[in-house]
Amino acid sequence: MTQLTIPQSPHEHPEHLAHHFESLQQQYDSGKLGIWLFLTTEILMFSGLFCGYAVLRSLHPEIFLYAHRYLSVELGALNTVVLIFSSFTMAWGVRAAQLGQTKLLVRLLTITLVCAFVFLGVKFVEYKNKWEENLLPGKFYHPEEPPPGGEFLKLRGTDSQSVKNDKPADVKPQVTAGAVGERSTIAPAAIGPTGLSEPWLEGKHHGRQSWSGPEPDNVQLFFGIYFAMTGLHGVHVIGGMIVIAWLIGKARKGVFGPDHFAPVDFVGLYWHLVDLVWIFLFPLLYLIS
Amino acid sequence: MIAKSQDNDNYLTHSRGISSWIFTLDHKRIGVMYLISVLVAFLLGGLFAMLIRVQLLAPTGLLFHKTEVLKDLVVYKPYNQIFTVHGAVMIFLVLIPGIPGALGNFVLPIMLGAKDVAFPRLNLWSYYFYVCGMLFALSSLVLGAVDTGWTFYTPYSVQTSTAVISVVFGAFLLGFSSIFTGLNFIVTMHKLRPRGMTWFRMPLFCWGLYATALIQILATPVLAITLLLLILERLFHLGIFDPAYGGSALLFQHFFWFYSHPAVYIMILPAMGIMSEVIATFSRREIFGYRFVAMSSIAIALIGFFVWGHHMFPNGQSAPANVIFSGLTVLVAIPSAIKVFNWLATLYKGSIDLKTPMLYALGFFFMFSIGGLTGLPLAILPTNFNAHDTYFVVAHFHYVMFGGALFMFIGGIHYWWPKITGRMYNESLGRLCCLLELLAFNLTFFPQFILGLHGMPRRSAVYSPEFQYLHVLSTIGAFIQMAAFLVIGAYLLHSLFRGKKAPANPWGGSTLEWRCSSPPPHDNFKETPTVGMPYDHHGLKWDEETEGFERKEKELVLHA
Amino acid sequence: MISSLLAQRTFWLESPASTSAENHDLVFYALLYVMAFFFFLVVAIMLAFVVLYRRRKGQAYDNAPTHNTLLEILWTVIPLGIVIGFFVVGLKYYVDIESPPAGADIVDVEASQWQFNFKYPNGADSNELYLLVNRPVLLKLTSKDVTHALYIPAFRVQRNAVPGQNTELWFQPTQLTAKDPTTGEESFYHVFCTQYCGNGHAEMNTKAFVLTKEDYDKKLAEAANIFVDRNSNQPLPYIEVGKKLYTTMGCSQCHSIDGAKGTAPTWKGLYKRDHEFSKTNEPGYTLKESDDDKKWDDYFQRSILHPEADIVQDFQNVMPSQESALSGSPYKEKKLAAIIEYIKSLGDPKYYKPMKTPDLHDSQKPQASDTAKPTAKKDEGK
Repeated sequence: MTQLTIPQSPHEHPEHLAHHFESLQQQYDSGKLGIWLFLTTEILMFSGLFCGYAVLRSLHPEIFLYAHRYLSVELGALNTVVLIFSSFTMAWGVRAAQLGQTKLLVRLLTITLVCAFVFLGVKFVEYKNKWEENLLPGKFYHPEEPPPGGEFLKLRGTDSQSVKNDKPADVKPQVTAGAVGERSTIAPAAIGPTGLSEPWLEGKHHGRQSWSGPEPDNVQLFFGIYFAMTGLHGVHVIGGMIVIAWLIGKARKGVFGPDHFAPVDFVGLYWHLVDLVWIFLFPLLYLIS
Repeated sequence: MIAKSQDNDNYLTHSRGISSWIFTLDHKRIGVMYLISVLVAFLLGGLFAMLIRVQLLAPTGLLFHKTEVLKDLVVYKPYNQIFTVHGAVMIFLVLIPGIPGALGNFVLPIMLGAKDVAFPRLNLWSYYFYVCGMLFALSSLVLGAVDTGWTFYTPYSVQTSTAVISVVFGAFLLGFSSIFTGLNFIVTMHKLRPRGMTWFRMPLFCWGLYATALIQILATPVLAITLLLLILERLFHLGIFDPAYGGSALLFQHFFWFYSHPAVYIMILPAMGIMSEVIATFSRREIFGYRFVAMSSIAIALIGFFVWGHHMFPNGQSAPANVIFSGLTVLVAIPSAIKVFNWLATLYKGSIDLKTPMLYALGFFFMFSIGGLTGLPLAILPTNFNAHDTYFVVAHFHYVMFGGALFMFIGGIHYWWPKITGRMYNESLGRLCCLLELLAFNLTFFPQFILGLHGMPRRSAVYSPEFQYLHVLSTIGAFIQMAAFLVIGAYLLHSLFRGKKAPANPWGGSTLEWRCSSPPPHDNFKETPTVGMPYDHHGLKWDEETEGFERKEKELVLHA
Repeated sequence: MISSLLAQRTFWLESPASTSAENHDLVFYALLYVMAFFFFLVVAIMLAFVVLYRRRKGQAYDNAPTHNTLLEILWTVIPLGIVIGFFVVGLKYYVDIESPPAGADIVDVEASQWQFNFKYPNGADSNELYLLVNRPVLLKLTSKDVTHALYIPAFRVQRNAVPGQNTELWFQPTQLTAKDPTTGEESFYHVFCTQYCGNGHAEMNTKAFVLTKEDYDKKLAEAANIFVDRNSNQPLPYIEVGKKLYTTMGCSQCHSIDGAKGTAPTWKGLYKRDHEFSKTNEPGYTLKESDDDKKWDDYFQRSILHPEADIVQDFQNVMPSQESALSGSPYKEKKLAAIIEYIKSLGDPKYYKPMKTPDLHDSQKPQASDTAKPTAKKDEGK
């Protein structure tokens, strides 16, 4: 008969063991699996955004080539370094927790938190700049100047996607030999990915009419994606900061040690994912071309 | 061996007062709270369904129609709002959370001989996300009920002035509820199984919940990002889904269905799990081809991720994409077919007792066969074009989701009712309502296949007069269904107060939940029970005294 | 009403009225038999077992089999074979569906909330679908606003009309829609919108007529003659036709009529307003309030047919020429006149003199001239 001995008195068990678990090992294993599953959901959520990025970029490469120059590569690189460093201090912190090195743990968690603040600070600077220059998504996009850095090649006309009257990429051209190729007599839609759109053109800045260099249509799409991706990432950074702050509070009370380091471990995993997402975001948004 | 409830202490009486429920960490209480909420949502969704059916009694619309004074097309808007709410409530508030939240939560840990799920606090959070999601979604009813259809296709969903953001945000929150439940169940099944219960000794309801949980974890986050982007699209004209701002309407559909197709497997897999349990118990046999049934759940979950494009065949998707999705879609039918044949084989040389839950299970054969088989014309491209977005589709999905998933939900409620409440309901009424429901359901939905094939589009407030007689039949069926459900609700409620006290094992079930008292004690088991082969009915004998089954013989004990 | 059609209906489907419908029905009925077979098989076995193996007192089967790998293989492989078979057959017919034949007539379809607008090769446009029997037709679809779908059950065809995208659909009707000799009522095939699109979705229906060449030509000529009110057979004032063309020709997408700033100059108050140009056809060209009617008429006509010639200050050269849209139409000049009339009607009331309604006789005569020379004048017609 397999029977586990369950202690008689409900309080005779390790301090950090929840009542429904049989052992600390089971609790730790469960938590580990749990956090990995949660990270999987996060990966899938960001994957959705990355997919959207991929689709938009393949449909309108000119928008990305043009608009990414509005971003500051230096600031992006700074943020990358800061986050990678914070991942390092976080990982070290987990080790410290495992070894019961409370003081070290608190210091490392604090450094991680500071790094996160720096990251957000840099992001704030970037966002402020975008706000001031009206480099915003949707109908709020009306930049005063073209992006810095280099000549603009005549983007209009080189990529068939951006030429008016051409069919967008996702129309299936399944036509067998000898089939009709006559043009439709419907005037091309004045709305749509390859055409000008009346509603948002209304909001366009007056001065743009005098530019000679061609700006592709629908550049606001880039900023839509930019803010969605970095914004969602930023929300996750903030969430991580809250949890790290909570960890610091607990760590200062000396709660973590060799028999109880799981929360630090799991938050560390989460933080590494946040870092990893940024490592993908940075080249995709800042380092195009 | 069986914990007798001499001390009369069970999870219901263990602690009292409203805060002991609001802050409970007991999976059983959380399950009960889910059950009540889901049934309330079902009532609401059902009410809206009745409004739809009444409207469609007349070709020009019985409730919402043009009048001498009002000739503007806006007269149909309330109808559009009603079918949207009906769909959204039934899918997001009833079918997706229903079985995992209400029955899974209650039964799973006990079936595994565990004290609770892996993360009880997360479980409570899951419930509260459900409640908040429900509140946000329903707030749209006062803020401007959404009229986009539950699918929120752009660009209409970006343009409509109704409270799309409320509903979409509500669904966003409900997604978290779903994810947390799935996460909890996966960890519970991985880590909290008792010694001796290997994966292939786990009851099939658990397998069903496991496969469901996989989908919940992998698919729901994509819904989250889709809804988030839709909200941003509405607020800031992000441009990703709206052609007027440079986006693609088709992209939204891809994002949306990437979740929403696997979602239908979230709805059906737990129901299939219940099927296995009920058939095993009421045939007094183990399930034929246990491993195949278990693995087919996983197969459905996996293949189900690759077929979402079949919702979009005529929508402007490329021809190669259409072909690929069609091919994969016909494949997904096979694991379901395997299950049906295995269940049939289980009946062979069984000892079949036609109690109410078993009647629901037998009804499932009928309904799910029709529903599943009618998926074939939809999967095959030429026939899809005639049926897409017509009442044929409406009939198809009602047969699988309502006749399949929801029916087994009701069947499961009847099966575990004695365990959850400690009471027996009126068996004759139970059987009668099941049969009535079966007949009425077919009267409601079978005519809709014909309507669709003849060309009646879905989501239409009015229609061409030649379709009227079929709509009348359908509405009559709906009213009979409504009556049946009301009676079911009545006798179940009645049993709470006047029902006979239930024994630990009224049906002769062999899974672990029948070893503890009805209702179970707070800690489920006083000692971790021994684990044998699943569905081992040897030694279960009817005891006249307790009016339940007791295990008299020494059972087969397996060493790990 | 549509009694002739009703008589042909079978239990499951309407009579097939196109080549693709006939293909569809082959596949569908094959599927139906297979579905019915499996359904009855499952239910019959279920009922048989429930009766044979009902619980009897004191009886327990201990020799019931728990698994049988051969059976598992059989009932996996056989259904798999069947569904793959259907997939392959379906694929064959799908390739047909996506392969419009060369030489098919082209009809442009523009879906909007809440109507379909069909544009025919002769330049006529209508909200009804006219088709030639036994001739393939290729519909090119797009939408002006939200997603719609065109669905014709009798032909078993369906395709979405997506804003910002072009989709295509072809079929070949095989059955004429008859005309009741006594009542003159014409039968038709339903054309539905199946992609939910807002308030008017349920009423976004129209009719498809399958006609002989003679009737078809007659219908198209009628449709082209937009100058006649189809219900009353009375001539429409040009300003009414112009208002209609404002929408159907797409002017409304860029030119507002209420003064709102848009991609293009608003028509409100346009007539006899001093114009400033950033680019003109002839150097030194000006257009002022004081200019005479001929100059204004010339300007309007040139703007419609050759918009790149003169660009108004603060606007871009983005207007597509309407030359192709109007060419081939026997009513080109009249349409021009109607649009111009409408534009003028939105100007300062002190300048606008309503054109007289042309009489029926005049409107029914197709104009032979198709030159670019503007001749649309106030006093055309009586």
